[in-house]
Amino acid sequence: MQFGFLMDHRRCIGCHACTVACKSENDVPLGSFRTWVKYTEKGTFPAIKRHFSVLRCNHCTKAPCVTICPVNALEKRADGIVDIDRDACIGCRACMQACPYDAIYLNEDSGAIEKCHFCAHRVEQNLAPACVIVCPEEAIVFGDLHDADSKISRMVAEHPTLLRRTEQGTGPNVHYLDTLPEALQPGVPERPETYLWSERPATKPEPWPASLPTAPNVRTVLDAGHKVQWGLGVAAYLVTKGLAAGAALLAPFAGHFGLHSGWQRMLPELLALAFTALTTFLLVEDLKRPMKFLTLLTRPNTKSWLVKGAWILMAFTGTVAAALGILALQHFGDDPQAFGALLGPLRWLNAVLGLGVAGYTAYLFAQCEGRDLWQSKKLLPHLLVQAALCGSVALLAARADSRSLLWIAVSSLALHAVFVLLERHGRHDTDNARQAAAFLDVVRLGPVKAYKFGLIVGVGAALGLCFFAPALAWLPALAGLFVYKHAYIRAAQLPPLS
Amino acid sequence: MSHDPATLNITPIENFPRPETWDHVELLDAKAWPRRETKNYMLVPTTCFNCEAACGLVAYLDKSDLSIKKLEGNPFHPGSRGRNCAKGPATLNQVNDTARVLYPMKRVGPRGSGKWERVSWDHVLDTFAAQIRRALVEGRKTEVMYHVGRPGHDGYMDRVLQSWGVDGHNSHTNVCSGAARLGYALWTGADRPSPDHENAKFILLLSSHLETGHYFNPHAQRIIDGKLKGAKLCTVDVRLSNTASMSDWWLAPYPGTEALLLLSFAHVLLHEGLYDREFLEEWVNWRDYLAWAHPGEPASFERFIESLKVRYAYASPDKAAAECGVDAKTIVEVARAIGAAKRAFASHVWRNAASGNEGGWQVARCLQFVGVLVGAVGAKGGTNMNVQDKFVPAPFVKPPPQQVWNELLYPREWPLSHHELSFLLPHFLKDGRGKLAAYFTRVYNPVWTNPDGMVWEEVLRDESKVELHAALTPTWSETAQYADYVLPMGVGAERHDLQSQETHAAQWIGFRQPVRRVAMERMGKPVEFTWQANPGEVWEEDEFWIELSWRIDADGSLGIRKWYESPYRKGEKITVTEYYRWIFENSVPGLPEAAAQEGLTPLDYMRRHGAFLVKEGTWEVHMKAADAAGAANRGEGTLEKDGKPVAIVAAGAPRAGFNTPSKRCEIFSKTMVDWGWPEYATPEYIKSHVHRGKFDHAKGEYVLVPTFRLPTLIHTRSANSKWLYELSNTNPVWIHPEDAARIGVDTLDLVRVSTRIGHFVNKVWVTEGVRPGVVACSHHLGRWRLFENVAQDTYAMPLVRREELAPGQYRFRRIEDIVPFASSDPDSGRIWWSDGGVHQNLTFPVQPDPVSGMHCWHQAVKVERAHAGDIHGDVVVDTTKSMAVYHEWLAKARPVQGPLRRPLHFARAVKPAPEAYKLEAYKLEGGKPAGS
Repeated sequence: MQFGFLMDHRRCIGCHACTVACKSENDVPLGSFRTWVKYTEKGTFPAIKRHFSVLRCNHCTKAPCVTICPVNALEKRADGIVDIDRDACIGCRACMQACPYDAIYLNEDSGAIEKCHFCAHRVEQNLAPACVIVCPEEAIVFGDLHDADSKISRMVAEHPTLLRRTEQGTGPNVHYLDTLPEALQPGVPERPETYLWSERPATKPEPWPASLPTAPNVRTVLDAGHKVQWGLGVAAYLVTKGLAAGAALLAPFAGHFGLHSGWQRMLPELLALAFTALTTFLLVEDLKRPMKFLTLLTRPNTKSWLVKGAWILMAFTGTVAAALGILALQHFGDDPQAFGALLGPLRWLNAVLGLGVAGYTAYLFAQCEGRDLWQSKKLLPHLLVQAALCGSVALLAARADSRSLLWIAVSSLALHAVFVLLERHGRHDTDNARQAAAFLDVVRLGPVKAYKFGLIVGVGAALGLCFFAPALAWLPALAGLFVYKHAYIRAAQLPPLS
Repeated sequence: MSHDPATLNITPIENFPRPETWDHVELLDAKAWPRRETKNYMLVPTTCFNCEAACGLVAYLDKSDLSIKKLEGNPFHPGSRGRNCAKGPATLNQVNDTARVLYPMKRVGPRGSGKWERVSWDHVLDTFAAQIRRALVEGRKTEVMYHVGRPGHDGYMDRVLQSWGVDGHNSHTNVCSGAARLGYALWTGADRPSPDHENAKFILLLSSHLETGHYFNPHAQRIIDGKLKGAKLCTVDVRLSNTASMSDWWLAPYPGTEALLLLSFAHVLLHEGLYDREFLEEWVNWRDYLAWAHPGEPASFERFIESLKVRYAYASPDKAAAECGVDAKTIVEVARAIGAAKRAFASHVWRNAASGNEGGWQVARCLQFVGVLVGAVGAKGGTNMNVQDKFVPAPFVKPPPQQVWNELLYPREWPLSHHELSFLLPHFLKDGRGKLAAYFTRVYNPVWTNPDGMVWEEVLRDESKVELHAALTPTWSETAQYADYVLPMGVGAERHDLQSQETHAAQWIGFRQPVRRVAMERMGKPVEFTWQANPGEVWEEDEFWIELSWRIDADGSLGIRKWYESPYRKGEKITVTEYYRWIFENSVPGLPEAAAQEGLTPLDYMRRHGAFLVKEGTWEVHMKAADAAGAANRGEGTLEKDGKPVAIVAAGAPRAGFNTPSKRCEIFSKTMVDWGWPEYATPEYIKSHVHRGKFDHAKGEYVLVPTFRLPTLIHTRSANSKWLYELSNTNPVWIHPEDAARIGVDTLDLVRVSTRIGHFVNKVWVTEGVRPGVVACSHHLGRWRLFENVAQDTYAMPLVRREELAPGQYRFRRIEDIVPFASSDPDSGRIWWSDGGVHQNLTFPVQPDPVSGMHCWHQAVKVERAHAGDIHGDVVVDTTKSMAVYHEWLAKARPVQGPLRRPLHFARAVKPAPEAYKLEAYKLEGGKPAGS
């Protein structure tokens, strides 16, 4: 069984009754919508028309929000409805990154996410969803798409319908009959600074990138706004995680780098542990319900890379702590060789787990069907290069004399630069990725253009310092990486999904 | 989350809980979901009050505290069929308005100074009763005035005013539908159309019925139903409406040329023989036409058609194309499609060109001309008249019509107006034509809604012209600011009204109810007055008028009290329940029987269903058999009594015909000839006051179309509706790219738009959705508030400062945008918009059409980049110029010379006795006579 909707845009008059009835039924906060009507105009006077499209959750067959939710708060029900348990939600907003339709919003009062749940509370009492019954035109057809005799199935069989963003492979179950194709292709129409009778919500204040062409004479003239959910915390988390992973990756070679005496011997593990702790803090801090953090362990969704990542981080923390324990024991204890035989293998184990720590994000981001820029196959190698970069510049601060470290730093910086340039200028397979890449240009952090800063300072200045004052290279390298990561995280969230 | 698919029982899914369960419905709580917690509700039907369509609603009352949790559609309602527009469910925002006026308020200090104190209803009633009694006793029966914006009921106030013997009903009609009413009335005697969209094959709209207008939701349902069944849809509108977007043809002629465009359709129908000869021959007064146009010539139908061809030669597709800016090929194409639809041609002009232009009344007349040519009048799938599809049941007793005529309402300059010259009231008062002893503005906000609002403000402040003013209103308004008393009245779920509308080929009644009161009574808790069940002391008008009338004549000596004595309890004061109970028991055919079938009294039936279908399939009422006993056959099928046509012989029997002097559709109107406008004896194209020839775009001159509405807003009663303003919160000036380039502006730049009496400063929306040379701005936004302490919880009324720049010269300057505010509703802190819209109407001079009296809304304006020092939202008005423009337009009217003030066969709101029509019988009781 699969409940679905068919939006009959031969009938829809764009009156917003569904929008308001839904707000009333489900107590949807101002600024957020479970369903809304987008207006798109195409043409020039007098051959111009305004087209409506009713947008909402697609109750996807392969719902990426369900897959990514770390605590199983989202559920694909037996009847096909994708429902939410708001009590279970921890407020990580990964689902909002996973949804390619911008169908999910955060209820800022409760810290839980919400979205269209097909009025499951009504359907279970044999009542049609609120949007369906209010519609003056009976333009919202609902029913079981798996039942060939249902009205919706018959209509889908009889008429060509459009689905939103099928390239995301989610299996959307909201069909569009007779709407303008461009209306379902976000970012293709021009998006003016205001709308025809509503201001444009200032949720994404960045200007449309000049490099991004839009279709001629097609404009989005009314639409809901969607807030950017992941911000500086996530950018910082990627850097701290890179530092932790990078330090562990280089630890087996610590002696080779000259880190073989005194506290310097412990430096890789110290860095790894400290930045893992910071990473964990940032992760928890970014939750809208941080006190529910532990449910990640008590009701884990094993398909979610947020959960797998947490496990990797925990394992990593344990083994790094063990290595550090041995090093501390050797340093402070009586026996400088205590557990000496274990240290080498442990460091190698840490290095392997460090690869996981650095790289799992690629798999997590791959689950973000709403962010095509993040879904690049190049992300995994890029994250590993970033880890090497972080680790090497950090260790350089202690051992500026190590040629090997310098070589690793320089080459990882160079490789990083190649990846960064490819992100912006390489080939992208989807509109969304192309648009996000163009948005890299316009993201700012304070007064600076973040992407440019990431290249000039994070790569250029860092490379320069590698040669003239390698002990200080970490400063521009990490600052640049952080600012670049901000651009990367934000830009991917800027293209419209509706 | 626990969810057992085995418990799923999803068929059949219904739209509404079964009506038999409405007293106690257990529903899963959406707020608690997915915890399966239930809440108990009582469901009570009522009628939406957020436009005039009167759609059905059902209130869900939480049985724990009888608070209204939501409003859904009423499945029993024949017009709205259980469905609503956005404004229906948003009624909840109005109920829960955190800054509601909850108690009667009396001004402290001078009028308009923004300070109020709470008073009792007793004080209010006694104050007004004394004032009105004094006026009545002293014979000042034109000094008591009830001025209504949104009526929401049928006939209730007619009874009240006539019981007082006053001529005091004023309305908003002449800033709204007045012009079209005249055009329609000249054809059939009925002043509004009732198109049968559902069965139409061609639908022609000079309106935007898929988003606004009377009657948006019911009509929109049937237009789309008709379209899906194969009807073609053509919309005429200067700007791209949602309706135009859904149409097979969107025609955007130059504003003011619409009548010619319609005549060009007629031209094609005539020349290509696409007219309905049978209908025309039988039902059009073509013999009268020939006798007037070609006296002495033998009359034949062929001669008639030939004569029309000559008369309308000026409306050939080519000539029309050149004047209207719509290509000739399209004109022919549309006209042929109309011809192909034959009688199944449904059409409607609502506001649009009729309300925008001088001569706008001819737009309706020309539209109906097209309908007459194809025989669509009263036909299935054609266009009925409102009288066929509206049912107004009689109350238990009706007072006789008043014996007086109020020239403040129907001045002699406009004997043909439909209806009152409402928007000129302050101009008349300023001109010394009279004064008001007691003035009720009732759900009416003229300072904001009407043109020239500053003149309203001046007059409303003047206690010598308006002695006592009460604003009966469900919400704060710009007008209420100047009242002596602000009297809170219920929103849609808090009042009684009985309403019927011509939504389709049927007749129905809808019952608006104070749902909390009904629920309390159903639970065995008696309620004496509705305000006791409503929030605070929010009252309903029905009871207010009963109480007031009773107090005006407590001893019965004025003969008023007797109209308010219960038909069930002799000599005692009627209750609102008894009032409606009597109507349902006695005046609605079929209702007592339907109620009996369900074991209910008629009143209980209406309390539970909220609506009743009186009759369906109301086509061809003109074919109704007529009682023609004693009538003489004048020949050509006309039956006469006392020299007046009373019936028409058609299909072999006497028929009632149309409500015109000739009983036929009148292509030739003797009324127009007799009442001073012989040049308009037939449908014609009148060049508008904004005719395209008058504008030099190089000098920044444009026509401003300020009349369009948005699908989600309620003129002046939705500033408290968060869900509606979230969707519509700015009204930029629409400018075509060509014009924007010429003016040198882009989207979001500021422009100054200047009229003859002032200017406003607003943002720009550059769009292909408007005709080049025309600028447009929605009148649905632009509210304001003057005081911090009034209407402070607002989603749409920015705070402005009113400055008097010079005597009579005012500026409103915005001092605060729409901002988030703290209230018991957390949503108020989440307001994300700031504009709220810019007001335009203050800057419009009054422009009464010389014939219909309708305010001609379109404005000749100058559009330029905002000046240095202009800020967004600025409104500047010079009232000294206002009066000059008023006098200019006044001079264009042709005052009636007598012996009557108005054609007796014309409709008139609260029609007086025939005696009052006699001009010589009238004596002015103050001020100077009109036209002198």
